[in-house]
Amino acid sequence: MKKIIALIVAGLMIAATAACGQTSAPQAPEAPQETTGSGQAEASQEATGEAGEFDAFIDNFTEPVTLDVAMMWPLNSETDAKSFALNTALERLARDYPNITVNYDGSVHDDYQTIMMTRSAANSIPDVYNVKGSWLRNFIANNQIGTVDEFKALDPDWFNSMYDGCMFDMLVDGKHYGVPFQLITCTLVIYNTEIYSSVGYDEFPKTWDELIDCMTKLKDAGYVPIGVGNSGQWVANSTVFGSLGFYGGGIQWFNDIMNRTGNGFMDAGMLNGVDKMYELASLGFFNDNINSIDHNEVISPYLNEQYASYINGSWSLGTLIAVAGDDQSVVDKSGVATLPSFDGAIGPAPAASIGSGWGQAYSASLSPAEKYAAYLLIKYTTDEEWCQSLFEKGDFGAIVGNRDYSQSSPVVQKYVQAYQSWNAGPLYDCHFDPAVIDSMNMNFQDILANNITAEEWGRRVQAEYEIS
Amino acid sequence: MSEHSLIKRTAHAAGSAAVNVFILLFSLFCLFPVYWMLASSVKNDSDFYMNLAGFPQTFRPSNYLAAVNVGRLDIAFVNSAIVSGIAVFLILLISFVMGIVFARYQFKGKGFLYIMFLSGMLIPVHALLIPIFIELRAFSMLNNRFALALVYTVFGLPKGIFLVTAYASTIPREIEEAVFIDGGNIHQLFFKIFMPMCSPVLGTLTILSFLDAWNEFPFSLILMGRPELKTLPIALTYFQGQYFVEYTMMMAGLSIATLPVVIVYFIFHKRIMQGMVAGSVKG
Repeated sequence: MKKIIALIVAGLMIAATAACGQTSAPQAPEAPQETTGSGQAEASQEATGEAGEFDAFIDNFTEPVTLDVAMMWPLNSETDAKSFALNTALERLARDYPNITVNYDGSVHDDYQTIMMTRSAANSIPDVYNVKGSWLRNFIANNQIGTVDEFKALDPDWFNSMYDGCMFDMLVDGKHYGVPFQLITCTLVIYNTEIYSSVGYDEFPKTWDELIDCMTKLKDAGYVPIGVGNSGQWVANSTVFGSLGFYGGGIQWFNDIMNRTGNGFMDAGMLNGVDKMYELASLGFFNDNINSIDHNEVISPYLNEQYASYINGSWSLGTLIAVAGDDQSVVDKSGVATLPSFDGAIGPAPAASIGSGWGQAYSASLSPAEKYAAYLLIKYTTDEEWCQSLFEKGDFGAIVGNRDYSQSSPVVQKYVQAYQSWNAGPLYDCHFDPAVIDSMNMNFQDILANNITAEEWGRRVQAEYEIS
Repeated sequence: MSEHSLIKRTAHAAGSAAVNVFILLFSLFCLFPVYWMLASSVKNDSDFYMNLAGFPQTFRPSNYLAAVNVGRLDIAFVNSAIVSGIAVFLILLISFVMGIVFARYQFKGKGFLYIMFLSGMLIPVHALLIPIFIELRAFSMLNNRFALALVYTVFGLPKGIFLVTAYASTIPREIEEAVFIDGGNIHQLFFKIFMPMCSPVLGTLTILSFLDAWNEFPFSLILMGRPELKTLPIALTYFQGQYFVEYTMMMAGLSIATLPVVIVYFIFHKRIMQGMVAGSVKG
């Protein structure tokens, strides 16, 4: 009896070890992509979309289909724009296609990434899901994602109406693997026009020298010139480096990183941008607790007029308006700008990182009927009606469209007017290898604390880049 | 009273006052997060952001109702109670039996088995997320409350076995001998003699296991993919949007989630204080 028990225990241990051994992280990308660098997606000729596979479903799709869907929005939120738009989209889908059953698993941003990494490693990808641009290569290599170019022929108007910069985030080797569901501008300076006027600036500084002069005067007047909440680490990369890196290195540096050409993270032009971030920090223009508060926590001191301005993405506009509540006085006198360029910059100005970052995707292992149902769900969660639902809650979809902003807050109107005149830079954290992004983010915290120089930052990230 | 004595008493009183003031301040320091959670749970968003640490300027108890609706805390509460209940029961039962066996009996391979159980404490939870996901998927046990409770049980056993073994090894040998001399069997020895004697350590284990199961996050996140099966820690995350957090509702939800833990603690804390085997063997 004892021997039998010992054998069973040994067997279980071997099985457990084997199970551990079978799991693996998503594979590294096989080859670097060719980026156009212009923000214009150039789909390959053969990826124009063939409707043939779906001919049987187009006029009469009644086959019962159940979709396993995972996305990063809970269904019950009362204030989240995406949650509102998703509920509306699912209601439309259920009304138009009662044969489609959606088993929805909603979680929140960070937890969703944990779920997807686990499911990817276990090769158990949902049928339809949110995909991040930086995940695409791994998912493609593991055959866990299908190209959405196949849907283009089913509804070209819908497919072609997406903002180009958003489609670019979903492009790998000439094919699109997701349909963008949002349009975000990452480098947005929200500033108090009254406070800026009080130090002699009726509009946001247009040059770097003006910026330094203005910030110095604001600091001397007792204000925190620019608030940033970088406890999440990604904020400085997305919202500050998004513009400064683009000015410094231009699109050429981005293409070099993607193609593994050039000097990588030791590129002098790009490091010039990092050095500008270091300069702002060393002159004390940011809040002291920059690395310990999150990006939403800058809003309260801004509304209390302790901060003269703050940097965040376009997603913060809705929160700003909501937090202000009944007293919209500070919101109404807020201006919207992006950071100015500097001497030696090679990227076009003014510029901000504009794109989607995320898109709707489907599993590569679906049957034709499931794939058609996935197409419908993806379309319903990215189309004009989706964008209109988002707009009603102060968010922006990837179809710009002609919307009536007259009822929107003045700060939203200023934002819409501003970003359309800016040059669109890429969302670095949507395209670079996740390990490199982690290294960039972690070392940006040291830059903001003035612990390291731009060159040291470059050396550290380069080391990660070379082994990624 | 002499002047010297008066000075001495005054100095003593001042010393006591200083110590008490320090303890009072330390207590306030410890209680502040609880106050902050409760105060924030009845503020509106504007009051919360503009008046982070102050008393509520608004009183909005409807946050609690909204928290239940948004986070589906009612369903999550029941799920957490079921999963935690099953896990605690299994941990107590298995830990008790295994602990007594390890503490009272000698058999071949005992040391190896004991170390094997305890080594479970050394394995980081996150290292097992993917293997357990694959394992449960293979057995079609994803989205299953009992499967989640089993996982919690497995992770709770090393600690439970260690505690019960350590405790049971202090019980005098004479007790077993007395039971057998009086005609008792092994079942009576385990469940009528040892179990009541181990109630202090089982009380401690109940609290620790319940806390672990009630607050566990990663496995619940990965293994329970359907909204109707989510547990409380997962439901509490629903107050975060993609780019913002509904703090006031989250604090109301946290206040609700904290309540059972406090109740369980108050039920069992006296057990921990009780003497271990005082009076069980007459000298």
